[in-house]
Amino acid sequence: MRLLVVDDSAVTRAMIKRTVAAAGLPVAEVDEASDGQAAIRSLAMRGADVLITDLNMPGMGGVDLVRAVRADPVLAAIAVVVVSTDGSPARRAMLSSLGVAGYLAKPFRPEDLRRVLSGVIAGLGGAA
Amino acid sequence: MTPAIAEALVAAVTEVLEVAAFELADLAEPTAPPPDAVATSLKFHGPPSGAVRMWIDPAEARAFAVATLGCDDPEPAVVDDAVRELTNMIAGHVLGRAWPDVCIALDGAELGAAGSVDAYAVHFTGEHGRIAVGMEVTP
Repeated sequence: MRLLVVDDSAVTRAMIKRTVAAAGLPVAEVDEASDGQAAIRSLAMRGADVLITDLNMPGMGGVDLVRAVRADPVLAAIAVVVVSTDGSPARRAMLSSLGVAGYLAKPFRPEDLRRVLSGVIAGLGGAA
Repeated sequence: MTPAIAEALVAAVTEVLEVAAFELADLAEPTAPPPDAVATSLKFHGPPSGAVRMWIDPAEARAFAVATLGCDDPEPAVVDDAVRELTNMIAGHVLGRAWPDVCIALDGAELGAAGSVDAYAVHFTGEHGRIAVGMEVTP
């Protein structure tokens, strides 16, 4: 299982990677990108099973990234989890319409991220 | 600033510090930011639009970075990144609860000079220093 973590904050990327490493999830590799464009390049080169993305980033933000992934036949099946400070019901409803599999508001507890990722990975057929 | 927004700011700072850094902060009397305060601002665009402003004592900023990253000696750039993310989390917490039916876009938090004491509505004393947060809203 390969994850791609997309966030313009290196601190948040490190927090997510640390939580994933400690959670005992069946994740072999975790890649990082600092914005949507870098994420697209990473997906094209290395692929991913789960994309974990922030929404508010300079350049290509998370919503445009999800739309780009969904529009690409090669990438469309990637499961997407949004981890963002923007937790309004209106935003969650919009993300749901884009097929986002999981949502987590920042700040999050490690057990919350583990719960969301476990559910998403289980849905992909991985043991979580 | 309305009392409801001030209450939302109090709830946001309290919850964000507790969840992200396992820290309990107490409300404090307003004080002017010290010369070495780490200050940030974050603009948001709706409607409503406006900005969230924050300053934090350097020791508290460093403690927040240590707690969130689990490292002992973060570089200054890492501390700055952690403070920007703290501002981002507080802003998102407040806006998502104050205007739940609106998709509000948040800019990235920027470091800058602290404003006057009047720009910060709520003040806290954390375990390692002070934090103050304010928000201005344009209808």
